[in-house]
Amino acid sequence: MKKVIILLIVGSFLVLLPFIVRSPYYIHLFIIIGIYSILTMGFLMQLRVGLISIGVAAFWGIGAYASALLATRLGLSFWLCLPVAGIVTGVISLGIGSIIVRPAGISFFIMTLALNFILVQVLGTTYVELFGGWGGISSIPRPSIFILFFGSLEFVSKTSYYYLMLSLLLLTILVFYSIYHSRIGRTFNTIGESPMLSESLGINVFRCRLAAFVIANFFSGLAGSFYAHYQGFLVPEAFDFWKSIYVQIYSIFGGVSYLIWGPIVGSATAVIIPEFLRITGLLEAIFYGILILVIVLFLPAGIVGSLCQAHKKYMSR
Amino acid sequence: MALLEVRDLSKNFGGLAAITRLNFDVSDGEILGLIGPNGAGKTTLFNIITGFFPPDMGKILFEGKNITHLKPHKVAQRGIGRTFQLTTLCIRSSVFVNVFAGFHLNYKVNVWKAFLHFSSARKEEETMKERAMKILEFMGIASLKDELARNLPHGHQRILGVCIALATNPKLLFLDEPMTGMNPEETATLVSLVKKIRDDGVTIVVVEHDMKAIMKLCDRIMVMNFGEKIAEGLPNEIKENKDVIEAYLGREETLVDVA
Amino acid sequence: MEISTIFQCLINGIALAAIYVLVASGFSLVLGVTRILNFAHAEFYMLGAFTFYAISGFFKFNWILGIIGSSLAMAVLGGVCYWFIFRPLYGFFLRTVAASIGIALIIVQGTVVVIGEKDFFMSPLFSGSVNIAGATISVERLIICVFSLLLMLILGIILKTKVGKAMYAVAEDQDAAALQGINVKRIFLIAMCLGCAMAAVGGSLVAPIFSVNSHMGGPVFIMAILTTILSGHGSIKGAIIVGSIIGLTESFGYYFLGSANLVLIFFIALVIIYFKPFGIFGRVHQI
Repeated sequence: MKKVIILLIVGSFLVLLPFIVRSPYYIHLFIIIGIYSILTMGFLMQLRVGLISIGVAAFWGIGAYASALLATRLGLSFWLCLPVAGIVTGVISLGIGSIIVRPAGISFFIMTLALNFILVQVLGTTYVELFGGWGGISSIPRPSIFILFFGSLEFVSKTSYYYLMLSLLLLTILVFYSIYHSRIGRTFNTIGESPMLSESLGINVFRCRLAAFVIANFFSGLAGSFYAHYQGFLVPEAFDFWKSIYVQIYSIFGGVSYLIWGPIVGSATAVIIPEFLRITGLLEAIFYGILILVIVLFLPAGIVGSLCQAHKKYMSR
Repeated sequence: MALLEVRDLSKNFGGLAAITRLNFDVSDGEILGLIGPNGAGKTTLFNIITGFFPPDMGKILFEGKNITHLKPHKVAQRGIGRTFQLTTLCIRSSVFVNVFAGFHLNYKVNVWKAFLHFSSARKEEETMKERAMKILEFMGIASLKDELARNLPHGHQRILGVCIALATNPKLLFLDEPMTGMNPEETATLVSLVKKIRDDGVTIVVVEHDMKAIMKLCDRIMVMNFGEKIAEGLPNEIKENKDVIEAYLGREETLVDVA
Repeated sequence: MEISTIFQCLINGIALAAIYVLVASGFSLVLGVTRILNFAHAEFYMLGAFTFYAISGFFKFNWILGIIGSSLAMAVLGGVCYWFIFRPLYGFFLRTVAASIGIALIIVQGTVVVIGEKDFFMSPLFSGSVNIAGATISVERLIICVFSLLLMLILGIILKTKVGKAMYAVAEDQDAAALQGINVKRIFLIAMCLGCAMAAVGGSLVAPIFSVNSHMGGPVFIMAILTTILSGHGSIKGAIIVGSIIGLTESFGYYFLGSANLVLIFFIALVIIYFKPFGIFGRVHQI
């Protein structure tokens, strides 16, 4: 019962946010939090099955570029670009995954790291007429909705994008929640805890890991598509490995056991706190570094975990 | 035709012969004991049969079909379950979650229906939950179902391992030193439980060092040393077998000399 | 391709390889012995370069002092990091990696804040160039190659000592080593200090040739980690061979492909990982 109340409160807050927080700048921040939440949830799904991926940003980038190209070259509407970009990302991750998921462990970790670099280099230096080289792609059309009697409405204000982001985030949460609370999620858990035990129970560890990999990256691709049409332009460096590292860091901020709340709280913390402290630019990274060390050393369960523990202690008094 | 037939099995690890030309059968419905000094190759044999290592030479037939080079999950799908020498559990999960994990092979409802939480999927889950509780009750640890696996005493962890393997509904069950770390009382309980498992229609192969338990439990015993079978037969025969005594006591004698 | 260009690429490649091998060996040593994936490793390399730059500048190009000074400084820093940050996190891989990322962030951005992002150039220590097969090779680059080789030999000798053997034992099996009376935590500390010192030397070698810059760690780190993964753990021999191949590929690749040479390297790496997921020479640690 309590959980439902919390959800309702948080839900209402999120839905009414643009009216509570008027400044477009802050709405922009929440949109960024949303994007990172999706990426981080993908990271955690892979982590759940024992895959430590430091290449989330690469698939985010693939989705973004795919969507941008679909829109600018083929003139597809955003509502088509979004799912198609997701599928393209999913297919590419299927191909790459079949090679790198098998050894798992450190090999996988390193290859996902390499993916970031390969992608940035490929986007920046190859097929320049297609990808736009280091200048990237610009003038990506905004999404528009055709509403009966009103005609075509373009997404212009940050608020409209915010609701779009919220819907995407909601979709991701629903899908992930559904997976984790089904036998698929349980299988993921078993694989993450003990691949050997899983094999002896008839679980095809490789195939399930690959599935988790593809699903996570599909959603990263969706987030990328959104990002492309929100930002309006793309440059290869936006998808460098630092973004992947941020994703990992945000998941640790939130707590790696909390597959859905963790990413949201973690991303929110990482984006909002520097704002409050008015830390910008160079100092921001130093702040992140210190925050990581503090949380890793003193709050091992992450922020969500520590809150839960504090809550338990409070209840048992 | 025996349930399991092993023919001419050999395995080398970088020049060291772990198993050499091993031949044996396991008959349907029997409890076969596998004993031998440390390093005799018993766990390696388990690992090869259940698909974790490929053999260098030889054949393994289960129910008449060749399973020699199958991957572990495929071997499990054929109906062979196992426990592990080192505790291999979902350490961070509860006892119930652990056993529940074992039902993976038993799900009939489509994955997509499971994802969308169709009522057929949910009903199947309920059925599985009941079966999981039955297994826990059978093995006597139902009261611990919400306890985290890592908090269990060693003996109970071994029992949990057996529960998980049982959940796969195996035809053939390999138990790798299930009684490690158990006191005589627990051992006796486990012996009677294993006999009951056999009575339910599961063929069992047990590796153990606890001689009393092996003698009480097994219909037949096979003895290995240095990767070879040195004896095979009824428990009483094995007790008297000169080669067996030498394999074990041969080492004790040197200890006595030194002392 | 003329001989002189080939030779130019060759020497460049070997110089690159020398740096990579040095940094990669240090990284591999730390990873193998302590199981710590130290993201900050290349930042020790960068700080080592700056320290070398500072000491050499201060003491008027006394490069021996520079190298010793920077190795010591980085060894101490590495030890401090291990003692206060990695030691409490023993056993938690993800948190250790995160912590190393935190350290890396602090070091890099701290350096940027304090010193800035521009390049610092040193006057060459060894002037002059040599003419081999029509190519003009600076003496400096030759010195890098020779020095690196020397250091690998020294490392080999260190590894044969009691401490070195203890490190092997710990890398193989920590529990077994502990049972044999080896103070595992102390070996961890030594390995960490040694690894960081090696990174510092790598940076010191690079400083006079290329430049010193707060962001110089990144690209080298990628190559170092790639070398480690491709060659497998514990194999210094493997690190040398693979590091050399990578350095040469990068050098020759740059001639043919320009900046796309990195893509080539990663594709080759992907292929190698496919066939040999545990590295060419051995097993990379499972997490």
